[in-house]
Amino acid sequence: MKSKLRNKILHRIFIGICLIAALAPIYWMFNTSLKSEAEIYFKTPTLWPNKVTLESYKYLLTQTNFLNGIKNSLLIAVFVSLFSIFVAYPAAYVLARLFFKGKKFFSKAVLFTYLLPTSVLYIPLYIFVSRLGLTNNVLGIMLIYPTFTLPYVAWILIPHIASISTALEEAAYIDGCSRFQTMYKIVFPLALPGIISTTIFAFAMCWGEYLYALVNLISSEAQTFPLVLSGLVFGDMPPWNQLMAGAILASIPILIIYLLASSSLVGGATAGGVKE
Amino acid sequence: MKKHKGKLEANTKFAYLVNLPLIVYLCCVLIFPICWGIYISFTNKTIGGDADFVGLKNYARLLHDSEYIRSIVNTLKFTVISIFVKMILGTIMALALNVEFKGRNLCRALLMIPWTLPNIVVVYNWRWIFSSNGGIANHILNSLGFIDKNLVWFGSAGLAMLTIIIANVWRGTPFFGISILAKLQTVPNSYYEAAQIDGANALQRFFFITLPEIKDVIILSAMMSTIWTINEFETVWLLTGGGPNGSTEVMNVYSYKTAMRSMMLGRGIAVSVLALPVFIILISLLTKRMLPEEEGSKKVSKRRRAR
Repeated sequence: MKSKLRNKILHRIFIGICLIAALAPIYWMFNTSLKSEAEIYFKTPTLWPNKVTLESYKYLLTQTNFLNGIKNSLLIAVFVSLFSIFVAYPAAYVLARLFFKGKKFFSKAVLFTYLLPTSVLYIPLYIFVSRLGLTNNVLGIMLIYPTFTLPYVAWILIPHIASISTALEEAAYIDGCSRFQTMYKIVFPLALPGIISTTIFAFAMCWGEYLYALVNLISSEAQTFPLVLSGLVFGDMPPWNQLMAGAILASIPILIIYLLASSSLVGGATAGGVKE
Repeated sequence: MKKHKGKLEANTKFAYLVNLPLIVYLCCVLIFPICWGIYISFTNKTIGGDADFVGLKNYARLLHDSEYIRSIVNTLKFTVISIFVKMILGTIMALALNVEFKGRNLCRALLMIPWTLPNIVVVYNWRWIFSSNGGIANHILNSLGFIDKNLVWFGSAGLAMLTIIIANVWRGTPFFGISILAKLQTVPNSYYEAAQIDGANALQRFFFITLPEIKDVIILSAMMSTIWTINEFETVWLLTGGGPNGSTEVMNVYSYKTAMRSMMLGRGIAVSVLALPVFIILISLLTKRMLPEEEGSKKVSKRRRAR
């Protein structure tokens, strides 16, 4: 009994250490963003700002290109994630539901492209986009990002669709629905929780993407927020408070949708249970 | 039988018809550029310049370039250490979260946060933490008495490598943790009860029950993470820039410098093409592991149709 209690205490301490390791750096980010330029370089770093100020946020939002970067990132991420869902959903549907010629090859190809890393692709795509005359244009990036979101969405959606009972679909069939109609009118709404969370993850993949953006977007007009942030770093003493303010602002949307996604994931699981 | 065949035909037609946009897109924007890229790796194409066919010259140059060889060694070092640490920490994290306790769901969500943050945010945060001007890392180590002089983290080869590994591990561990946890939750409790009755201690229970059960998912996560880690660019580029003296310059940083800074696109692509076999092997191994389920469901649906 005593050793059980001891184990319990050790376990809680360990969880506490994990939480500190995961969250302390984020706290530091937040803490720094509230400091003045002078205070970040104090000899003894202050664990809470002596004087809380929002000057870094104000500077970032008014004196730099950050807001424009956020706008570009948002535009790109929203467009690409929605586009990906609509183009990749049929692939997930047929892979989860149908038996057809070349299915094995098709599913392999989807997985293969999902796992194919950007390092192999970024220079060829740079040449491709510049030939199309879309360098320095958010359209070029919108063209590139689906190369990783499409296979991802298709692959991740398969189990979501496979977990939906086929009973409704068969009933719809008997009532004279075509495959196409069942795919969109019956299965799509049922798979919606999974589809929403997948869209969100696709959004997150585009949101902070750096390498493609770095290679293809040069003018400040077209830059996404990661490029604006990296543009703030120069010399030995970069304005860390502004950078961390940017980091916080760029993380908030992701954290919010992550929370939304994890709750919709839970919703998806229970919805499937009711249907059985 | 005839009807069956007709259905297969109809399914096939339907499957490719609805996926036409996807297939056309990936052919145009993925497969075509890759093939074009491979062709360009045999030319001396520069940014804004023309391309003349030069055969294997780019490849020969690379293999004789000590900077390239060093970048491969650095990539291996970085990847092997990071994956190993992430694997161990991820397993421990999963084990700790597999115990019932109050607030477990909240803890799980909080521990996932590093994985959800944009990488660029994570990287700059670590760069600030390890900064030699006002960085908190030095301050903490100082006050704990581990060091008496501020370390210049990005100034020495070993420390710089350590910082990129820490940044990578911090963000990558939750992926392992959550994947392993999902598998752990399917291990029946009765296994452990039986082992406990037989007098197995915690360590034995871990090695003889838990580990065999989660081995597959650990390997799977490790292989996926390996692809991502070999592919790492911004963690290194934004944290150390490959320095000091190229000691953290990984493959992608080398290829970026070659292609975008020195403007030698052909040679830059050759770097990726040389890495392609490694990726293809890893991906094929992964596909084999990830697809058997797919075949199983196919068999089931076949059987259903036979009835």
